[in-house]
Amino acid sequence: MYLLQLAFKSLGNRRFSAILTVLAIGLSVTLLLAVEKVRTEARASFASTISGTDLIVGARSGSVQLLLYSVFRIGNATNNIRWESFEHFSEDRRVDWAVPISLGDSHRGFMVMGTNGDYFEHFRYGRRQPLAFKAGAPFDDLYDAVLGADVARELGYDLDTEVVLAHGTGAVSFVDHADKPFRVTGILEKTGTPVDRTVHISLQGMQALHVDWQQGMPARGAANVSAEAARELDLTPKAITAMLVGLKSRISTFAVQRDINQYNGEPLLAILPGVALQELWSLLGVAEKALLVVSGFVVLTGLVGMLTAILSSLNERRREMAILRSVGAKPRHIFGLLLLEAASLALAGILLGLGLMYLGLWVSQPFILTQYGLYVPITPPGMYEWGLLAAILAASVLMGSVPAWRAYRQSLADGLSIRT
Amino acid sequence: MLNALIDLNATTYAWPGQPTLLDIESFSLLAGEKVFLKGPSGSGKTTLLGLLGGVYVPQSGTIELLGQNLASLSAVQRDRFRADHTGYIFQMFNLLPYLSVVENVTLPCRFSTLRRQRALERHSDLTVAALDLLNGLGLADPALLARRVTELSIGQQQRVAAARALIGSPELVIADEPTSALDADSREAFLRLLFAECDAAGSSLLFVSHDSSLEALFDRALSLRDINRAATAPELT
Ligand SMILES: Nc1ncnc2c1ncn2[C@@H]1O[C@H](COP(=O)(O)OP(=O)(O)OP(=O)(O)O)[C@@H](O)[C@H]1O
Ligand SMILES: [Mg+2]
Repeated sequence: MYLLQLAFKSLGNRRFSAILTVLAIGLSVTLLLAVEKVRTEARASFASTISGTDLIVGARSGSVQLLLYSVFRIGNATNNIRWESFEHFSEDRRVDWAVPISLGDSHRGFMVMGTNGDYFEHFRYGRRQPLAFKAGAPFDDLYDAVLGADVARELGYDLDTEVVLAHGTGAVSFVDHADKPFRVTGILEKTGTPVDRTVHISLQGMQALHVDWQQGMPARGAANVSAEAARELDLTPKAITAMLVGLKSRISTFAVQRDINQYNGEPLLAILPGVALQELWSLLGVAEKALLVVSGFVVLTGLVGMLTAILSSLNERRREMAILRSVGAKPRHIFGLLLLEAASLALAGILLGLGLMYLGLWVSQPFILTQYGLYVPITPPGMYEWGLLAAILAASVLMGSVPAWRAYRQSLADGLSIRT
Repeated sequence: MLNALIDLNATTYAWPGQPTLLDIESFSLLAGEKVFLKGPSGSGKTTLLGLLGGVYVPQSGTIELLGQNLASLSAVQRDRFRADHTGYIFQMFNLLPYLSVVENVTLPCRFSTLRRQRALERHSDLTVAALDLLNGLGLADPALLARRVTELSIGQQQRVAAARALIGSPELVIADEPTSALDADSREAFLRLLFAECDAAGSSLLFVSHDSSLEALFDRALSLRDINRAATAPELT
């Protein structure tokens, strides 16, 4: 016990370098914990982007690509699927429900998705949670729109706001659909998924936007079809981007998947969302692991800094060791003293790191939520985090035994003679 | 020999790879005696004190302290024996800079239960014991005791070191040139205080120095060269 007191006082005597050492370890621990936190939360939120959907069907391409554009609204579909194909499979007796999805337009950087009312009924995320309305209701009229939570909040939109959609998916579009404005009829609750950043309209509405377009450009003059005139036309879509499928029984999943993949009408691809998510995560996993390794090395750097600080103090402390020996300290006391020093520096660093991490989390939580749609809950460290921290402490004790051993040897060699 | 505190018998010691430094036929120090041991620089005075402290073990012969042959003890036992029965005062920089004056004085009681017990026999607690010794050595001013030890003068530091060597009344106090950094007047004043406290604690004193001007104050003075058969001609410095 007295050794610990001595270690503290000795450290206090070298306050400046001790504080710097603790700071270095603390910051590195903060980084490690933060990376770990974001990693686990990102993984969890990633995995909960879609659930309750048995198959996602799109034009034949890569499964990750299909997942990216249909669920994450990243990238574009290379090809559409024909409406007949959708009808064909939605009528399959093994299929419980099928929801069409049509992408391609945007509104001020947010994706516009054409679908039908079934989407709000069948889409599930997280632990099979359904979409809920914060205000209003699903679209009813041709020119109705339902906004994701982020869209409404970031753009300050409310029910009945008029929304002009733009052609294409760039944040800045040069061609818009000013002639056919939409009206907000519903705003969804926050989900923490890409749904929050999506403007939902009906497939017919989306069809109406493009009914008079030719070669990717709006019609001019007489060929222009007004918003009201479009209501009279047949607005059944010719093609959609993808479809979400729920099956009556999950046992038939692979059979239906095979049938879709071998469909004669056109080349299609059906994927299991869970499998595709895994595949995508394993791609991201490399970056994620690299991040962890880098922060691990940062912690190591912090500990090496501690080692350097203690080692370089040893020479000027030979006198201290000789005095301690003369009053009866055994070499193992000297060893213990140095070890305690390393352990207390590391422990202080770890505590500082924990404190900084939670402070940082508390400060940045709203920012991360609004900026990245990632809700990082403030929870006490889990078993894994404690394990990491214990490993850091163990590593520091291990490293601390290097100067401890040197001091031990030195104190044996120096005995009671005081050298500087 | 009666009441011999230290008894060396045909003791030899050589540092690894060096010729024999010490070869002492016999040397003894009686309980309560104050002995001045003189020798030029490099003659092996500090080495001898290390042997007496049980930090090193002689290659041949015996060193007995309180009738105990140090070589027959394990290293840990020797450390313990030293802490229990010997107080040290070094040439200078005796104190741990991060401890207060009183904490420095009570340090041996943290490592030796025996000295702790002895200190507590006569005083209610260790701080009182330390203050009593410091008082006897002329360090009574509370403002002075509250200062950082690095802010004390060398003479004051040496008196704190003497108090530390004496706390818990060890049988032997070993002083390795504690006065070499002091001026002549302070030296003598320091010695008189040290003697008085050694008497009060019942400790013997072995005092080594190359400065023979002080030897008249001691019970006995001898030269390391006279007892060391391995002694060479003094260095010309
Ligand atoms: N730890 C050590 N390792 C090797 N040699 C040592 C060690 N300590 C002392 N010596 C050698 O032993 C010899 C005697 O040294 P010692 O310190 O005992 O002399 P001293 O009489 O105390 O001198 P001084 O009056 O200068 O303090 C010297 O030649 C020194 O080089
Ligand atoms: Mg010496």
